[in-house]
Amino acid sequence: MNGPGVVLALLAIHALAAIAAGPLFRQFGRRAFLALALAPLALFSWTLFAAVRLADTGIPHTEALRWAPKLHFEVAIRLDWFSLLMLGIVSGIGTLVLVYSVAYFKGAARTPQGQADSEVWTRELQRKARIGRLLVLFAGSMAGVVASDNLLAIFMFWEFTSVISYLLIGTEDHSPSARAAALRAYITTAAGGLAMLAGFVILAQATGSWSLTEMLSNPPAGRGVNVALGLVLLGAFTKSAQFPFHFWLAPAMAAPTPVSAYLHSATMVKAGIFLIARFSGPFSDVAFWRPLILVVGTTTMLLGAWRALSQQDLKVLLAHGTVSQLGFMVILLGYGNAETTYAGVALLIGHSLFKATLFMAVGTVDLRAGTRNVNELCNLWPKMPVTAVVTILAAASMAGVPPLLGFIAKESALGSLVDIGSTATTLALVGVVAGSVLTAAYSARIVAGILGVYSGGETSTVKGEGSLALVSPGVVLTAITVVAGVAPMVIAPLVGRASDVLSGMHAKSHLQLWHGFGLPLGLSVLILASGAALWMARTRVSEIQSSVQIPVSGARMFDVSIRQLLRGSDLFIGRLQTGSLPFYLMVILVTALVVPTVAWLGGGLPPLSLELFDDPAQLVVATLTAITALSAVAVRHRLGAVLCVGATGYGVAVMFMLGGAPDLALTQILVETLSLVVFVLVLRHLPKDFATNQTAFPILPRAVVSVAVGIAAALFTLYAYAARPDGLKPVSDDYISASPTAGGHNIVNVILVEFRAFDTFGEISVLTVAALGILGLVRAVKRERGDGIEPTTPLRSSFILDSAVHALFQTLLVVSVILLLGGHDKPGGGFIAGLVAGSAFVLIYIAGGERDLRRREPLAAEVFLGVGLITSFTAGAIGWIGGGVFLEAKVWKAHLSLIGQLKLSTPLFFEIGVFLVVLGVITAVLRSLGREEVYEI
Amino acid sequence: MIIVVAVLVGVLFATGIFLILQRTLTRIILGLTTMSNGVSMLLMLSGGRAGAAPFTDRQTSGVRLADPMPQAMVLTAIVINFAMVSFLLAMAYRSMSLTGADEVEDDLEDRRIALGERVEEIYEEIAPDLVEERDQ
Repeated sequence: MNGPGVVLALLAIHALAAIAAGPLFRQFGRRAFLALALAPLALFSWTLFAAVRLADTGIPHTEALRWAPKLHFEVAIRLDWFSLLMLGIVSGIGTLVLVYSVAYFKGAARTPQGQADSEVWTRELQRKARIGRLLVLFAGSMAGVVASDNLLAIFMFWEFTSVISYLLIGTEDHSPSARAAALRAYITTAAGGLAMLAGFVILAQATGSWSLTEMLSNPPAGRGVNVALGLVLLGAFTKSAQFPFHFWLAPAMAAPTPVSAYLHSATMVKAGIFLIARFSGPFSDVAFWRPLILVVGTTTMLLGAWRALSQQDLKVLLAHGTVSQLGFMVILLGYGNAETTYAGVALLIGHSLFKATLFMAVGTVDLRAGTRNVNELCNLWPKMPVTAVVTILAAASMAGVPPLLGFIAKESALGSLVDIGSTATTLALVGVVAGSVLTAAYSARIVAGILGVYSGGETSTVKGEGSLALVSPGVVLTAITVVAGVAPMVIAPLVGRASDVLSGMHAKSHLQLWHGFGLPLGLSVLILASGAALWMARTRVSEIQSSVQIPVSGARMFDVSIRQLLRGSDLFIGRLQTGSLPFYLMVILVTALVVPTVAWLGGGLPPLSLELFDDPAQLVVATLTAITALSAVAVRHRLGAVLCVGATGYGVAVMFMLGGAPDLALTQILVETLSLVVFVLVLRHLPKDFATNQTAFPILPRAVVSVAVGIAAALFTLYAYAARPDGLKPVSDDYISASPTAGGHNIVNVILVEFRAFDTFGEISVLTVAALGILGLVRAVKRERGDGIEPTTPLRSSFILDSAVHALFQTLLVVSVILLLGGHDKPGGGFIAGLVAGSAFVLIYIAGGERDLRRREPLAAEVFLGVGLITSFTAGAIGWIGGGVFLEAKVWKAHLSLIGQLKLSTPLFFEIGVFLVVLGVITAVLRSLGREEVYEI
Repeated sequence: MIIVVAVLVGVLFATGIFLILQRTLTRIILGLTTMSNGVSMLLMLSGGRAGAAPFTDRQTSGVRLADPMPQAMVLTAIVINFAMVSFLLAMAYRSMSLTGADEVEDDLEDRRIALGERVEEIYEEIAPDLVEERDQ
């Protein structure tokens, strides 16, 4: 597989153009659409080049960008004839639509009427820039869908198109109906997209490859594959608006007309058809495939055409017509026979040409005449002959009038269905003929509409055709329709090659204007004659139409299922999400109780060998600690409760000491002391007692759950203890034996700053974030209340305390430095040293208040935090030097004549960083919560 | 160091949770502190039997060492718990200045969802046609 190449670069250019859209529109106004058109134009030119090369060499162009190879995700491009054909349609029509947009969006933005309107002008410009950006982004995404060979890449681009379509349908985001239409389209197509993804995953598992080409050339089989194919078809049907998912397309006409022309007729809705066409070659023999395709396709074709016939709004009429034609294409391209596929490819080209033309023409009519309602339109022929001719030719191609491309495509479609001649295809043929009669009738309705037949044939008062950009795209497309119809050999080789790629067989059909007398020609004549008759009898037909109610409505089904979904989730979530924190905790706790209990009852656990204690002192200390914990629950007095919990903490510290953990005991005592200080600082602002009657639950369930969790925790502790089988060597043994080589005797400290230093780095980051949070929260209070009111009585304390503290301060700082530097070998280290240094500042604060603190510690807490974090990071980054890893220890030793041996190591600097961060946390607390200002509350 | 400690862990968890299951933020913070003390003890005990303090220079005498790994984890946990308690206290302070009480109130938006009010709003956004149809 090649690396990334031209196609990926061209796709990237689409994305870049979208990014540049904002500045471009600010600079050039709506003419920026032309600049954006360069992206699809470049792609189109390259497609032509690639086609010539493919004709020469016969080897499809491939390239790939490895994105996440372990997830099999690479944006692989493979351009066979069908991909090239689709790429040509996507980029060619994309270019024309962007050109058309230049003129179309002229009317939408009036020139600024002086300075006052400049805001309106800017808003309009932003709206246009948004549409342009999304259109070019869509062109790139759609090109990605048809050019990709990797199933995940196809899915990614597929979803892009869904999202962009959602945004474009909702362009008029202030209109509720536009928003609803966008949401409906998105939910439908995205749900289908997810189903398709599930199908892709199953297929990739069955094939062993995520490459579309490989899957199609070695098609897997089995029940799983059948499910997968059903899911893929579901995705394709939703995207291509097939019954019963057709309902999203007509409301999607809320989008501006260029969008409808591009996304909702010529390209995006063909993504589903594209996928069905790809899969029908190897998979159409699967039992359910053909019946499903024929039923869905025929129903969609008839339903769409039936609906189109009764529409007054030309754009909505075209939308229903598109649904109908998409059904036709599903039948032909989904059947999986060489001849039907051939006809399907021809129809696909024909439809893209005439439908894009018709949409743009209707947009032009709407813009010039101010309406697109057939009953209001006057005769446009005298004033807008070019638009009228283009519309008539495109409608004629749609109806299947010779000598246009639509006629030829329909002839070969009828011929291929006649040739198969099975019962199923004959029924489908009847459906296709009936659908085509309706198509001919609604095509006539379009023509009659712009000729003003329904409004009495008065000549319209419009002022001419409009600008060149408005007219030329339709002319170009119609010219191709006519040329391809009169001289089908121009496109016959392309159609043949593309359809051979799809079906894997060689189609015998040729596109011909004159097939000779036969059933297909007879049917064509019948279709046109009946269509004309149907149009002539239009009053009677519309009476029948209004009396016949189609019982199934896809939109209604969608609405009802959404409503049931919401109701269902409401039943569930309404019970759980009550907004009460205690309730949420209760749910979590009960879950935490039930789930392990079930596992515990189910699985065999090792027997416990229990001892009462290691040391009799533990019994005494544990009892005292438990008593303090229990009293914390009972106390109503706020400070009392805090003191009880503090006592519990000291008790735990003694337990640590008895358990052989001096470092922990030291840390716990320091933290407990500091916590008390912080509590007192905050408690100043809070009421003295806890309010009564504040609980969300009665006391009994609370007590039951608490006790149950307590028992579970105790049992868990016993099992955690027992879960250390003697045979297994704990990881700590390695740490213990490796510790001296790492240059430290305090194993806990060595683990913290060397073996598991990355964890520690994460922890000091958390500390920093918490400290910044504290500063922010308190500053918010200060900002709201302005400067605080100074306390009337100064907080000066006793002279003895003052002097003692000032003497202690320096001593404590020296101690903290000793603890910091000696922590590698003796109890101490960055955390403990930081806490000791912090307590030195706390003492100052207690003795002298905030002003004394400011004098002693002039740096802001943020400085400590920042410098600390940077120091630790730098110490870690030094590990990278010489190809090492982050936080790898580096040691330098030097002999100095006077001092002796000097040792510098990165773990020491890391530790200094930890020290500074911990100190920063404490000063942040003092600086913020310790403010002397007393706020009136 | 077994049953006694396990019972202590149980008591610390039970009292901690009892304190957490209410609305006063101060009590919730006290409950969290108590619970985290319990967690520290639990982690310590998961290191197995008590032993001598884990310093390598004493290993020469052949004394059994306490497991240093849980100790390292507990040490950082204690400090982080301090930061968290301080942060929650700052929140209590902020809550006091905003509402005059350090109470955790019900989330009003959640209550509306629980009462089913939002469902209709969401539904009207997705399917205005049907809502109109029903209204008529």
